[in-house]
Formats: sequence, C-alpha cells, structure tokens
Amino acid sequence: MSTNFRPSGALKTVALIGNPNTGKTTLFNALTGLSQRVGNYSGVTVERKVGQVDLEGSLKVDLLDLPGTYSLAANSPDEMIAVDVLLGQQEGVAPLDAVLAIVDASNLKRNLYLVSQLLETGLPVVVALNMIDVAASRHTQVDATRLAAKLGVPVVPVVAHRRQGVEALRAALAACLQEASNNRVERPQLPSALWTQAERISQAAPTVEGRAPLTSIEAFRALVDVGGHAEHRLVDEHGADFARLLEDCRRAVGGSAPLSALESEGRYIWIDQVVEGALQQQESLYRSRSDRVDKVLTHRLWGSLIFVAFNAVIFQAIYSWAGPLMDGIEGGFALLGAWIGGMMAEGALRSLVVDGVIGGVGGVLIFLPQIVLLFLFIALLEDCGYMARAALLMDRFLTSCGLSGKSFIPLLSSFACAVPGIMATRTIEDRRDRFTTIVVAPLMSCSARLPVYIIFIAAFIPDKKLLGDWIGLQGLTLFAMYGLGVVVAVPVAWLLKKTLLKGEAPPLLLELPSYKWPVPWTVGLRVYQSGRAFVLRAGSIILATTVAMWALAYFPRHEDTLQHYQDQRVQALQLEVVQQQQALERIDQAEAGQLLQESYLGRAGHWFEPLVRPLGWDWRIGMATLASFPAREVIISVLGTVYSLGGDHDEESEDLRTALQGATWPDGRKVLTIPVALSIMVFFALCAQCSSTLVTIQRETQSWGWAGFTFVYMTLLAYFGGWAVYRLASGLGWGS
Amino acid sequence: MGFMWKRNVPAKGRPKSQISNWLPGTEGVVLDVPGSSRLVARLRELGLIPGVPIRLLRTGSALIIQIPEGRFCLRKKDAETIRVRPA
Repeated sequence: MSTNFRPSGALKTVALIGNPNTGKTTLFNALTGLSQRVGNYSGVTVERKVGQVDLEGSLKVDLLDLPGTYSLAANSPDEMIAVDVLLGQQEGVAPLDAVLAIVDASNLKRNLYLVSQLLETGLPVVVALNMIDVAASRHTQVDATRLAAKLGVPVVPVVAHRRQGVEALRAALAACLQEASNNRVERPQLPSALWTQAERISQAAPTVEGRAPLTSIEAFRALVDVGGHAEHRLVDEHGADFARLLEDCRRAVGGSAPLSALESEGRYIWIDQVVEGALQQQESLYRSRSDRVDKVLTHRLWGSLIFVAFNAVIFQAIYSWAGPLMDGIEGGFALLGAWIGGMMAEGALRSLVVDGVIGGVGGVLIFLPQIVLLFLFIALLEDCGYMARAALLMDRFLTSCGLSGKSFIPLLSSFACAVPGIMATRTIEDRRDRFTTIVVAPLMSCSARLPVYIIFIAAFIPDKKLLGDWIGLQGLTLFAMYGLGVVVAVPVAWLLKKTLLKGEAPPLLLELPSYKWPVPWTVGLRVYQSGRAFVLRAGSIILATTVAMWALAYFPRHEDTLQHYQDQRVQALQLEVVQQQQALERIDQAEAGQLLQESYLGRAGHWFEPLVRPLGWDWRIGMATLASFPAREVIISVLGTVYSLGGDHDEESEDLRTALQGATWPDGRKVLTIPVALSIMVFFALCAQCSSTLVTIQRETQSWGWAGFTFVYMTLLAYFGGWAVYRLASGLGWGS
Repeated sequence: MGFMWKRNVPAKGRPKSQISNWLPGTEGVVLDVPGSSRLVARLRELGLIPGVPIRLLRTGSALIIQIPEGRFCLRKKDAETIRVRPA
C-alpha cells in the first residue's frame, strides 16, 4: 500500500461519481481497500477521499470519491464540489483522466440523467452498473451489452457489496485509460438554442488569469440553472456585465418553458431511447418490502415511538453494555501504572509517567468501548437507510425551530462528534439553514462529554431505582444531560432564524432509498476510522495538554517545603513503630497537598477561584475546566493528575471516582456534592470546549465570526447554566 | 407532542389534481410540474416529468410519493405545485 513506488508521471486520476444511495462508498472501498486517505479540499471542509487502485500491469490510478449528486446542476455545497472537480475548477486537484460513473440498475433512468451530462464533458466515462441483484429481485433486467452499445462507453455490471464484477471493472478502466478515446453514438438532443447561447456565453466571458477558460459545459450550467452555483460564481468573477449577458442569452433562447424544463425533457427523451431494448421492467411502480416497513416506521405514532425506542436502546447499550470492557481497560491501566511505578526511581520522571500519562490519558482511553459502540449504531442506521425516515419524522419538529428535516442527520451525527456533524451540513442547500445547524450542532452531547457525565454520575448520583426497578436515577441523570443540549438548541436555533439568519423555511426533498442490510465492511471501516481518530486525539492534543498541566501542577517544588517535611519525617522516626506508620502517611499527604498549593497551577488556581466559586467549584475543578477548553476530555485526565499529585485520598483506591468523592475544602467540608457535580455536568453539556469544532466551523462558514459567536454564546450559556443548577440543587437541599 | 396524532384525512370535494388531497395508496399520472424554482428543477431531474405514473404512500405534513425512479419525501405545501390526475 506504499505510495513510494509510483513511477513518476504514470499516475492517473479518476473520479468516482454517482447519485446518492447507489453504493458508491461500498464500491470505492472494494476498489481501493485500506489505501484510502481522507483529507479536505483546499478552502472547504468537504471530505476528500482518495484511494489507489492497481490496474493491470503497472498502471496505478488515484481514485477520487466525489460527493453523491443527482445532476451537474449543483444546489448544495457538496454537489458544488463534485461539479467543480469534474470540470477541473477545484484548486489542488489534477485534471481528471477519466470518470467512473456508478449507476443504480434498479433506478436506471434517473441515474442515466447524470451520465448524460457526464458524456458531454468530453471525459472518458466507464459505467459501473450496480445493484443488478436488487433490480433482478424487482423483475427488472438490464442488458449491459446493449446499454454499452447505446451509450458508446463501457458498462460493467457489478454487485459492489459482494465484490462481484470488481475485476472486470478494473480491466475496463485500464482499457479506457490506455485507449483514451471513446466513440460515442449519440448525444442527448437538447434544443439547439441552449447550446448556441451557452457557446455565446463562453465566447464572451473575459478570461481570468489563473483560471481555465470557460468551458461550454459551465456556460451551459450558468445559462440553465437560474440562481445556481455556476451563475453565482461567474457573476462574482466577471461582475454585473456578465449578469446582463446571461439575462440576454436566457431571453434569446425563447419559448415559454423554463430552461431547466427544456433540459430535463430533452434528457429524458434521450434516456428513453437509450434504455429501449436494454431495460426490461415488469411494473413501473414496484411495491417493495420497504413500503411495508415504511408503513410502520414513518407512521405518525408508531414511527415516532420506534424512533424513541431506537434511541433508548443506543443509550442503554452505551451506558450498560460497555461497562465490562471499560473495567477491563481501566484495570489494565492500573496494573500498568503500578508496574511502571515500581520500576522507576522516585522523581519528576516517574511522576510524569504515572500521574501525567497513565493516570491522565489512560483515564480518557478507557472510554474507547463506548465511543466505538456509539459510532457503530450510527453507522448501522445510516447504512441500512433508516436515517432518511428519521429525518422525515423529525421535519415537523425541526420546522418549528426554523430548520428542516435536512438538519437531522448532521445533528444526530453530532451526538457522536460535532466535527463530522458540521461537515455533514454540506448537504443542506439553504445557507441560513446550514449555518444555523452548524451553530447549534456543538450543543448536542458528543461522545467526548460522555466520560465527564459518567464519572460524575458514578461518583455522586445515588444508585437509586425509581418506578419499581425500571428506571435508575443514574441513567435518568445521563438522559437529562443529553436532553439538555437538545432543549437548549431549540430556542437558540429559533432565535437565530428570527434574527441573524432570518429567512423562510426552504423546501424539503429527501430520497427514501430502499432498506438494505448494512454492509459489514462499510460499517466496520467507519467504526475503525472513528475509533482510530479518538485514540490519536488522546495521544496528541489530550496528552499534550495533560503533560503541560502536570508540569504546572508539579513544579516549582520549593526546597524549603521539601526540607520542612523531611525534618518532620526525621522526627516521626523517633515515635513507636505503630504510630510511626500513620505519622509518615499523614506527612506524605500534607507534603503533597502543600506542594500542589504552591505549584504554578495552584497559585494560578487561587487567583482564578473567585470566578468559579458561584458555581460551587474549588480551584482544582476550575483549573481542570479551564484546561479543558482545547478538548473537553482533558478534565478527566487533569483531575486524575491533580488528585494523584495532591495525595489527599487514601492510598489504596487509586481511581479518580474515589479521589473526587474524598476531595475537601481547607476547612474539611467535601468539595464535591450533588449540586457541584450537577453544575460541572451542565457546564460541560453546554460549553464549546473543543478546538477542532471551532476550527471546523471557521472553515465551513469561511469566517471566524461564526466560530467566535459559537464559542461566546455556548460559554456564557454554560456558565449561567452551571450557576443556575448549582443554586437550584443547593436550594432544594440535594445531597446535603 | 399532540401534533403527532393529528390526522390529515383529505376532505371530500377537494380537487384531486393535487396529490395532497389523495388517500394513501392512490395511483395516478403526473400532468405537469410547472415553475422554475430550484426545487421544481430538481424534481424534474429526478424523473418527476409529465406522463409518469405516481403513487402516494404517506400523507401528512411530509408526503411520500413514489414514481418509477424512486420514493421521495416532500412537504405538503411543496407537493401542491405538482399537477396530477388520479387513475
């Protein structure tokens, strides 16, 4: 899989394109395997997936997975990228050598619409005819040989999820790249006035330095798609003169029908000619099993209840089923810490490894099972086709907040992680809807908050059962924390859509793909990639912050203090053996506590403490929270480090939960009570403590303004939310 | 959450040229998809063109329609721009 063997110049670039829900990702995985790399297109966060395909001989090809699109008439940012890459307008992407178009045999005509547009680009095209098994089950037969003859390009039947036909596809791609000539039979017969006017536009457009001259395809899109992507970009580039030219050309086409209707009509006439003799279909409105499933799953009452039940199962799984796995990892780290601690000499280095790395970062890594489970459930729901149904059910609710069903998938993904959630908003066409979704997405409780909730719930919320044995108070608290983000997001979104991002609710159009069994490979790869990202994050940003915090909490270690306690130890040695042991333990604890107080972190913490006192926090929680702004899981590792260094808990229980329960104010009162624990959880539920999210917002909105806005509003909400719940819970006398 | 129980049963006598007045399961033919909005242009690209058969699968605030080229969800308000004739 190494990329070092590329014979220079021999590498070709091919784009994989197709409608959404055609099995494009599955085919991409089948062709590229683990060689795929995920990056971003320059300037935009649209995910750019590239993988290498080995073809016959020594021919190697970079395969680019383009976002799914129905047509070159781009509406969403996602579709714009696909079109820009295809037309050679995307910065940083080599001009394409060929296009691999995947089509769904069970919806062949609609899929050929995009193919008809691809053929006009002049690029060599290879068609992968996927889902022939699904088509066959609906008594639909597609004759690939006839279709190829009609289209004038190779057509290879494949079943991507079973990896059938993939070898033939490689061969066809290799042949296509070597010949580099396609003899096309017939182009769609669109009204000639459309092409004449498009030609006029491309001739008249002034050339811009650094830009390829305007192709007739792009000019065609600018002409036909009124208010579309191509029009916006060209008017931005060439100014008002170009807008007038465009209007002039549109009028010159004549007739009363909208230009887009002329195009679609012409293409579907061509498609009917192409499929004649190649497509045999028994009934045009096929009744499938999916329809029967949908009767229940999209039912107003049952569908909504099942949606809630799905969420409950996911929730339960994360909270209960992951437990044994976590205990295993936790036990492993405890053993590791003891083993390494025993081998190393006392001193700064041992403290760094045991208190900083193992006690800190290890505490975050034990949550890997839960994060993997969460991503697994979301990947399963996405791959089987349920997400579009859930979006449909949620449309009414989301419309009441000024959003639409299109925002559902980005918001749901944000429960795993806001970064992919925000990136998923690129399927939303309307800019205001998209920005509103981006700004509220970080309020959804992401997987990084889960460790925070779990540790504070386990330590402070009593394990009581309510309503018989059905609901546990701990589970209910966790549910309330997840609900809080949603409840707060509603007024925030509503306000934004009334003020800064004011606008009408845009129309909703969702394709409901047939249900299918999830493909294990596709789901497995998604889960692996997200699990890997979590571990890497723990090993980079969380490790770095923790080590920095450890250093601040460990140094400067005043000689006077060390000497003072050394003297006490010498005195204690005079005592009898029985008392000696106790006295030495007391001295060790007092020394650790004083060293922490005198550390840089301790001194900064005392200066900082008045700010967090209204929330009931002491300086340690305050500093740990402050350190958690780059990444919220840091609070776990920093509290682990601080309490491990502070030594104010008994030696035998090394885990953080017991350390938190034992923490006291200087006067001996417990720091952490139920109100304080709730205030910390509410703060973390609402706060924007994630640098990756803020950077993603900046890139996605092309403005630091929105990232700053998100940070400020969430931090303020978090502070006042934490304060309010602390006052309320204290007032009610909880936990006292 | 009372909205979930509200039924949108089409009243008698409303024009059947609007699909939102059909009962679930009704089939018919698309007569026209007028207009030049981005939504209408996209619907035509998806194969919702004059002459194709159409079936209503779900009513309510969000409809599900079936055409030979797939099943799509549309809001009632947006679906009302499509002109149809029941079979």
